Amino acid sequence: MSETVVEAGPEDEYEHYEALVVGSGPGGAAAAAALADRGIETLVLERGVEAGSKNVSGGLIYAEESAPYTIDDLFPDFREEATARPVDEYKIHNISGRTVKSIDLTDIHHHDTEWCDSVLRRHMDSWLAERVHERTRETGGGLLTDVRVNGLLRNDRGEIIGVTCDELDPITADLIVAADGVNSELARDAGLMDWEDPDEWFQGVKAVVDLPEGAIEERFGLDEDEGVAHLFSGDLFQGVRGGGFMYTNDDTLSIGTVFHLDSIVQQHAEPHELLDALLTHPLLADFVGEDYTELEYSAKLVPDSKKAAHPSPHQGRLVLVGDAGGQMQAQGPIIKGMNHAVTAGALAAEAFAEAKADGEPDAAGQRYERKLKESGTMKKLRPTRYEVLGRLGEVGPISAVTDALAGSVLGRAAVKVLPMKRLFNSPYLLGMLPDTRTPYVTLPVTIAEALGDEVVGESEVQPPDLGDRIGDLTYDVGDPHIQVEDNSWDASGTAVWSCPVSSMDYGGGCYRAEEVQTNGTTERVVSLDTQPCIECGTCAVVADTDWDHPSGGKGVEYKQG
Amino acid sequence: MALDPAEYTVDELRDELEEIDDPSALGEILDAERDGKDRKTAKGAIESRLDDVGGDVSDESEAADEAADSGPRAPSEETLEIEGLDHPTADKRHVRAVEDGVYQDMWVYCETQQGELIDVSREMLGKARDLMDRYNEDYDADEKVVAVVVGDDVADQAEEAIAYGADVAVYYEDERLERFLHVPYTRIFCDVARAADHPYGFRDDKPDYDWHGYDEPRYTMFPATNNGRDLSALVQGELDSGLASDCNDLYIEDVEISNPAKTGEPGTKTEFERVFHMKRPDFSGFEYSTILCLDKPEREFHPQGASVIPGSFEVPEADPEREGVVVEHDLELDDDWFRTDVIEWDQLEGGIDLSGHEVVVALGRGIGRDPTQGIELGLALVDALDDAALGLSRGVITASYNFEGHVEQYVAEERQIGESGQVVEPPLYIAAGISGAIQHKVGCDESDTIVAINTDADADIKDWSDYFVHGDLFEVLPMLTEALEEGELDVAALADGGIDDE
Amino acid sequence: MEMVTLTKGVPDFSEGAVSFDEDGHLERGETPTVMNPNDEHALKAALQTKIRHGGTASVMSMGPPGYKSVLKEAMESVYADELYLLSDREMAAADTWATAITLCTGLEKFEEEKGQKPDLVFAGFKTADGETGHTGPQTAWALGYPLLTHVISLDVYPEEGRIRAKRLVEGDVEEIETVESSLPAVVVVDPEFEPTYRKAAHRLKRKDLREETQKRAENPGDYATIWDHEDLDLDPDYIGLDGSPTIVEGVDPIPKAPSEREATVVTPEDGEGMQQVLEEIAPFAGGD
Repeated sequence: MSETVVEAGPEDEYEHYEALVVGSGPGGAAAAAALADRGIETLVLERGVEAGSKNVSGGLIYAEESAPYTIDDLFPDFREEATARPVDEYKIHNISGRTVKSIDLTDIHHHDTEWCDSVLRRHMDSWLAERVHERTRETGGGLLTDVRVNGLLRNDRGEIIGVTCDELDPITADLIVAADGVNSELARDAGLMDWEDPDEWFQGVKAVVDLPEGAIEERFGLDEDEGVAHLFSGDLFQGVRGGGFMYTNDDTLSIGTVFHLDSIVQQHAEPHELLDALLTHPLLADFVGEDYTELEYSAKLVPDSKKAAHPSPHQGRLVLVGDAGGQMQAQGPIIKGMNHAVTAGALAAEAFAEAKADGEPDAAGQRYERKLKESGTMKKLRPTRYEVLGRLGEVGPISAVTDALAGSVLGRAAVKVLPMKRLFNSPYLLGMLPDTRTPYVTLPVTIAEALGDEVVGESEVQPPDLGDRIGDLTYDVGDPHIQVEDNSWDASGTAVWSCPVSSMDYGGGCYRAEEVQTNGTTERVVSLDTQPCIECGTCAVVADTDWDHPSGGKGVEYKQG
Repeated sequence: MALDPAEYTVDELRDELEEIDDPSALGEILDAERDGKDRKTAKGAIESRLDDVGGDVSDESEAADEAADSGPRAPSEETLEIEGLDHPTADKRHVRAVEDGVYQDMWVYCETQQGELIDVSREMLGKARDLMDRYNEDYDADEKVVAVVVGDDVADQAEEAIAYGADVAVYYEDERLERFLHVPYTRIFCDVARAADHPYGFRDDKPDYDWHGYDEPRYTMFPATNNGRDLSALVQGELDSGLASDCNDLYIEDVEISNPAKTGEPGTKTEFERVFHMKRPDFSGFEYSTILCLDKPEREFHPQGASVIPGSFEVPEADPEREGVVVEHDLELDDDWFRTDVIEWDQLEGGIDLSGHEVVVALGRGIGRDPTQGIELGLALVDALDDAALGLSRGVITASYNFEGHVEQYVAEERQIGESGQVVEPPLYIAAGISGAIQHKVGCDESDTIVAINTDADADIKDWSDYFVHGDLFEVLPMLTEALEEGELDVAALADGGIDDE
Repeated sequence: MEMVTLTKGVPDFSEGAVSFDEDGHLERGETPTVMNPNDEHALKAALQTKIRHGGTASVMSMGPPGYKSVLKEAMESVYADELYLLSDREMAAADTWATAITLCTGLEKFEEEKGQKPDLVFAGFKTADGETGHTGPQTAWALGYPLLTHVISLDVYPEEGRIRAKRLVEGDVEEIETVESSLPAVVVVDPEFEPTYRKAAHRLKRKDLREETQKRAENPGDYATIWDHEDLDLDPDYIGLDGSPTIVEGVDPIPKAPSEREATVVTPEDGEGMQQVLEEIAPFAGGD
């Protein structure tokens, strides 16, 4: 009966729970709460030392009027206790050098929006997890941290019956909710998701900046219970497709950038430098102030749901929820992920409860897919308009034409007469935007040049260098969780600049360029030290790696998130 | 009244009482407690405070209380002596000291591992030899070094103990003793150590060895290994004596002691002769204590015992010609001594231990220009030093350097220094081409002296080194090696002369 | 299972907490007392046993009444049910053998009160102040219990009245042994010990216990029993300093490496500077 030895035994010897939720972000929390509320015995496994310690988001969570579930439906005190500020004001700054044209986006922000709050994930997710534990514990389950689920447990017929973990013996369940995030190991084990194509992903990098008490109210002209969101696009990002954001939290700012990963790869852009370009832009000087204190540097891979959201996110007893299923809606200035994860989680719970009541628990996945469709969620994630028109716009020659058009004299004249505000605030038009330079760079620059005013003042901000940034993060001191399969420059060199904690001219990051002498010839290769890894997953996509998460409790620990 | 005890929990009351020094105030509180809640623990707390401040607890009501209360109470010293106490220590259950005992010789427990004496056993035999030679001279005595070897098939090791300095080597072998077991090993040691007619011996039929003309050993020495330390504690406990653990310096001399626990009377001094002085680092390495194990009136604390940190003393030259008495001890082992049993065992993979060296030469990514030569230069400096080891930064371990075969073996994770590697604190740490990130710093920051060599004048390591050589390790390391090998301290000349020419 | 873990309060030697006088001697009064760090491992072993097999986990310590903070700390880490403090001025300044006799008597009193022997007595390896590692083994000897030391993993088979442990053996090479023993037993837990909880149910139970204990730990006094030498029927001559074979004759501070360093910067061309560096290294010269 020794418990120190893991022995694979027959199925009935494993611990069994009715439902098993992997990951305790908003998707997992929603699924677990909804399952527990239906009296289903639910175990939640989270790999961080605390829920939220592995989680980063830009920082806005929406409650949509049209959604079947919102987070405060499931967790009534959510807004009072787990979020930072309500965000009512939303604007985009089109930047060309020092010339800026700001356009108010509050209309599109409020479109279908019941409310929208800024959040920091460590606080939010750990708050959720406490409630999830209480509610699931009632059912005989509960929530455990420091447990990494590393794969699916299958029976001898190959059917998914449970999960395997680093820290626990295998566990079986009738429903397995993979809410294990953008780099979901379960979704990949099931073959539902991959890390193949950089153009299916964005990479977000964020700094949480500390401000003195009362500074937010003063600098943004807000009351204590008000907040704003600013977006930034234009020529400050070396032509890389994407943009920046700044959200107000209680006494901090979340300032970040989000770029198409394929664009970072192509442009040889260093993500931390792009973030610095935003942080040091004079437009932000008045907001950030002179004493720049960066509490945390973080990064995250963001699935582009238009391409990556799995239309049928289930297999056997396994359902994918949130980022794990690519359910992150990023279309132009709209970035919505957490709300969809919440909806999906609750729908999965609903599907399982109904299927179980009908005596066919194995049909939960099918029902979940149907609910995603019928609730309109899948349509938001994969808009048909984009399928028809957007993808077309990304085809080379056409892209070049629109780009040239927008940037031309004609284009510049056009933006002067076009109703800019209406254009930006149309969900319909935004749904069609192709992922080319046009909307991210050319158009904003054109707008700024035609309509903008010059920013006065200089930025005093001196962001920390990369070494100091990652020095503040917790390190993985276990075995390397990522192996470079092919360390040649061709196969994996891209990681040196694309990885947010590596840089071509910094030797202390994850990925480093090396010159090695082999029989008199010099070869360029990469080397990897996972110690400063922040587990964003970028290198899984852009380099030839064998990528796993570190074991439970190991690796990066975000305090802000 | 200073306070009303009824308002406090006993816990709180104890804290409050600490503030009160006046016995009469405490007396009032005690009365109030008796009249009020009358909690035994509360009364005890007040009485003990009264005791502390020198008040007298007993009064009439206390006497009445005692009569009514059949529970434990506070008898005065007087009653103690008159009635005596019916308790375990009073019947001296654990007190197995002899009276007016005769103590002689220095006994050394020689630990074996996989059938061989371990190094520290030899080191102790050498030290014991030195100490007793000196002792016999100083005190004009003729006392012996007695080695004890226990195990399965250990007769040869007993012979070996003679060669390393023992006058007598007693061994006990039994196949059940192949692995160390606390109880039988302790029993055997004590059985040999005690005189045949010892009042607390385990049996009546113990052989009366002619070389053993005393009640118990005068001194004992054990290795401060996991098993040796355990055995030392148990043997000294069974022999009702004391010991110092993890010593790294030992000597014997007379000492004058004024501690009343030992002299029996405050304000007096007693001369103790032939006292084993046992020096050891303690207080988490902050202090260095000298421990003495001394008889007190009415109770004799012998043998005076010590366990010895491996490596503290030199391994002596073995002298195969040395003569001594080898004795196989005989004792019937009681089955009840085998309530624990070793089921299986394995040797752990021996990694490279970078600690315990005088110098660590650590290399970082500064070797990147020519990694193979960098390792060679580091090794050359290691060789030029008496007791040095080569360490590496994590940067080198995780790099994709191509090392040539002859140095490749040195580039292994087990040489890594830092947060995720080994932590070293040698007298001298030489860090070449290491930038000095915090993760590396924690691995060597406790070193006495840190010399850094780096081409980057702003390297972090400059902030936490004693010497910062702003230069290229490919130039500086050979300079240092050369200077050490030549015994030539005139570096100025070397620098000018350009050792690169050689 | 009836389990007792022995613990001790020691000066907090961690950086920032520990205080030394001008001569480098520890200032006891200025240095806070904390639970001996190595005892954490013993408590973890006790907790693991309690979670896997149920039962009562108690903590026993010998020390001044101020040790309540230590007991509280122990309570929070083992989720202890009961706390026992052997506290008496007569017990003060005991060495390991006098302490072992006192603890042994405390454990016998425990048995008397409970009507049952503790199945397992846990102790940590070495205290941060005395650093002897003797008290656990000597207590086992005084009790007459089997002793397992340097234990790094532990499995208990309550029905069979047996335990099986892995333990570390030192010497010229390191070895790992698997040892079996009957119950009751004293287990001295090695700092390398790591509890293993491979069942979600066990981890959930641990969480429940944590929450429960946090509430109870607000008033540790409510769960504490304090025994003095009379409660234990101990003769003051045989405990404390009077009952101790050993005394500390002298204490010298060991100089520590400087925490703040200021580098002397030299270049290879700077003969005088290099000379200085070499003089630091030269005493270690030698080798083949």
